[in-house]
Amino acid sequence: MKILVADDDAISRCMAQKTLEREGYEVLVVENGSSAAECLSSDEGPRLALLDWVMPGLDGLSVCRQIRSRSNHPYVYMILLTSKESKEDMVMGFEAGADDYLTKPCDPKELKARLRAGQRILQLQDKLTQEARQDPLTRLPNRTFFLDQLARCVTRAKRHPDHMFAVLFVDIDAFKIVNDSFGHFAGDQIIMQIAERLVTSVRRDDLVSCSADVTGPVRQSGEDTLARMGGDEFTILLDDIRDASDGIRVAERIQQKLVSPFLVGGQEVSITASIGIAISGTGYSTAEDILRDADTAMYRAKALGRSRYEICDPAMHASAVGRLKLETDLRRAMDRDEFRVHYQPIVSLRGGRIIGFEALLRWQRAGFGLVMPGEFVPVAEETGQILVIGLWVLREACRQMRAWNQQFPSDPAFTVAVNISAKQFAQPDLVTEVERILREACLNPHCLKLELTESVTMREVERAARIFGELKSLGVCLSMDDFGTGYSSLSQLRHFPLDILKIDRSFVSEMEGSTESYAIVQTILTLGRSLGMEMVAEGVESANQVNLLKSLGCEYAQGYYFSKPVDQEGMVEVLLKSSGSAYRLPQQSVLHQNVIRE
Amino acid sequence: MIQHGDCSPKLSVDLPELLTRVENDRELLRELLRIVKEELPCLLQSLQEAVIRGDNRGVEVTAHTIKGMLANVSFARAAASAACLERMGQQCVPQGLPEELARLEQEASLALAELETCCTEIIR
Repeated sequence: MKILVADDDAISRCMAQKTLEREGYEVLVVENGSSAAECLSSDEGPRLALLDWVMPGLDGLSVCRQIRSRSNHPYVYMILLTSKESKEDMVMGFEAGADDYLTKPCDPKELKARLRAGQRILQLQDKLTQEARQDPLTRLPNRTFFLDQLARCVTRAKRHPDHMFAVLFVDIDAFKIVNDSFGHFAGDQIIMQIAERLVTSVRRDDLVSCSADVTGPVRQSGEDTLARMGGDEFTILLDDIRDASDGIRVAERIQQKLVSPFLVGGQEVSITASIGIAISGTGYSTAEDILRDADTAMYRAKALGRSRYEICDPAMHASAVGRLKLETDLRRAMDRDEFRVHYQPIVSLRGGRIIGFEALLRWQRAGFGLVMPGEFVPVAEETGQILVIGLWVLREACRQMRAWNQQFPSDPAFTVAVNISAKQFAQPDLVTEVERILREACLNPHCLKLELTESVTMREVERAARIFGELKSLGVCLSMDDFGTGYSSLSQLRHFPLDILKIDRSFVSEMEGSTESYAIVQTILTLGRSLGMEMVAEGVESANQVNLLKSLGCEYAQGYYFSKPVDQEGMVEVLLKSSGSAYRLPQQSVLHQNVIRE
Repeated sequence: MIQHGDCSPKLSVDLPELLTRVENDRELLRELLRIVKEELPCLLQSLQEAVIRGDNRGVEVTAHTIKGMLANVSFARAAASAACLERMGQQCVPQGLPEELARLEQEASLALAELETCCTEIIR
C-alpha cells in the first residue's frame, strides 16, 4: 500500500521511510505541504499519509483541511506526526481533519500499529462506499453510482462538445404481473437473470468486456456503466459514442437478448423491455436532465406498445417541458381566476326551444389563450386537481342557472348539465358537496343534471348504484354521457336510476353516411325510450342530422348546428333575442333520408 | 519568564532509545548521523540569524525543527534546549536567547561527538 511521508526534517523523513519500507509500504516522500497536497490529490495518490505539522509554505494542518474539503475523492487516512505536544495542538489537528496524532520522537512499533488501524478503517470505509454504490441484488452499480458517472460525462461533454454519450433507460414491461404471479422471490431471481443478460448486451466489441458474474464487485463495461435504478428499472451509460446509432445498436441487442424465455421454478417466463434513449448532443447541463429525457423516451416506448425503444428528440423534450409547465400553470390557474364556464344550449327537437345547457370548462391560460379541456383535464385528473376544479364548475354552473332562471323565467325552468369525473365520483363526500352547492346557489335540484360516463358507473356497480340513489333523492337528474363508447353492461344499466342518455357525437356525426352508425343511434334511442329515459344527441352539426334524429324520435340535441359553447355573456345575448323558440328547425330532407335508407 | 531550569537536562544521547527507534538498523543509524552532521549546522546558522534579527517567529519555527530532529536522534539535552528556545520565540522572550542558543550549540556538539563515537563502536 502506498503511503505519503511529508516532513521538512530530513531525519524524520529518513526514519519514517526506512521504518515503513521494512513494513512493506510503498513510501512516497515530499519535503513540504504543497507537494503533499498535490500528491494526495492525484488520481492514483496514496490513501495513507504521515504529515508533519510545521513545514515551509502549506503546513500539515492546511493539507488536512484541503484534503477533507474535497468531494468525490477516495478517503485519505492522515496522521499528523509533529513535535507539537500540547492538548490544544492535538485538538486543532483533529479539528483540521487528521485521523490520528503522533508526537516526535515516535516509537516505530506504535507508528506501525497506528497505520494498521488506519488501514482497517480504510478497508471498512471502502466496503461501505462500495455497498452504498452497489445494488445488493444484482451487484450492479446503483443509482448513486450511475448519477456520479453520468455527472462526470456531462462535465466532460461541456468541456469537449465533440464528446458524445448516450443514456438508455430500460424498464421491464409489466413486471408487476411477474411479481404478482410468481411472488417477489421469483421476481428477484428474474431481475438477476435480466441483469446478466444486460451485462452481455452492453458489452461493446471494441471495449474491454465486463464479467457476467453477478457475484463480483461493482462492474463496469469499459467506458460503459450498467446500473440498476431500483425495481425493474436499469440504466446504461454509453460513453464516447460516435452517434445515436451506437445507442440504438445496444437497445436492439438488449431486446434480442431478452427474447429467449426466463426460467423460474421450472416455468418459462417471457420478458420484454421498453427502452428510452437520450443522446448528449442536445447539450445537457445536468445528469438529472439527460436521465429524465431517457425516462420520458422510455415512457413513450411504453405508450407506443411496449417492447420497443424510442429516442428522445427535441420535440419530445419540448413536449415534456410543456407538460411540466402545464402542470405548474394549472396549479396556479384557480388562484389566478383563469377558469371559465362556457354553455352550450340543449334544444328541443320539437320546436327549437332551449331547454337547458351543458356547462363546459375552459381555461383562459395566460399566454396561451382559451384552452380546451382535452388539453388539460387529463393532467388535472392525474394530479388530482380535478377535484377542486370540478367542484368549482359545479358551483359556478348552479349559480349561473339560478341567475338565468330568474332573468329568463320559463316553464319548465332551464336546466344545467355538469360533467362529473371518475375521481370526483370516487369521493366519499360527493353527495354532501352537491347538496351544499345547490343550497348555496338556491337552485332547484331538478335544474341540475349530473353527467357521468359509462366507465364511472361500470367500475364499482354497487357503490355507483348507492351514490346514484342518494343523488336522486336530492332531486338531481342523472345523465349518462357519451353513451355507446364505453363498456356498458346493458343489464346493469336498468338498475341505475338514470334520467337521460346522451348519444355520443361519434355516432351522430357518422349517421348520415354509415348505416351502422344510423342503426346504433336508432338502437340507443329505442333502448332509452323503453327504459323511460330522455334522449339527447350530442355533436349535431347539420340540418340532415337534425332531421334524421327527429325522424328517429330523438327529443333533444346539442351541437354546433344550434350553437357552439359560448361564455355567459354570449348566452345571455342568445336568450335575450329568443322568445319561445330560440332556433328554427330545418325542413325535412326527403332526399337524404332516402340515401340512408338505401 | 522562562527559566533555564525548565529545560530538564537529560543524557546527551540516549543510545538505547535511539537503537530501539531505528530497530537496531545500523545502516540507518549511520545515515542519520550523516544527515545530522550535514543539516544541523545550517539550521543552527538560521537560528542564530533569527536571534540576531530579533525575529521571534523565526526563532520559534527553526527551534521547533531542530527540536524535532534532535529528539528523533535522542539528543535529549540538546532537544530540551531547542524546546526552550522554541518557547522563548513563541512567547517573544528575547532575554537569554543568545545564552540558550549557545547552550544548544554546545549540547548538540557534545551529543554529535558522542553519537559518532558510539556509531564507530557499534559498527566496529
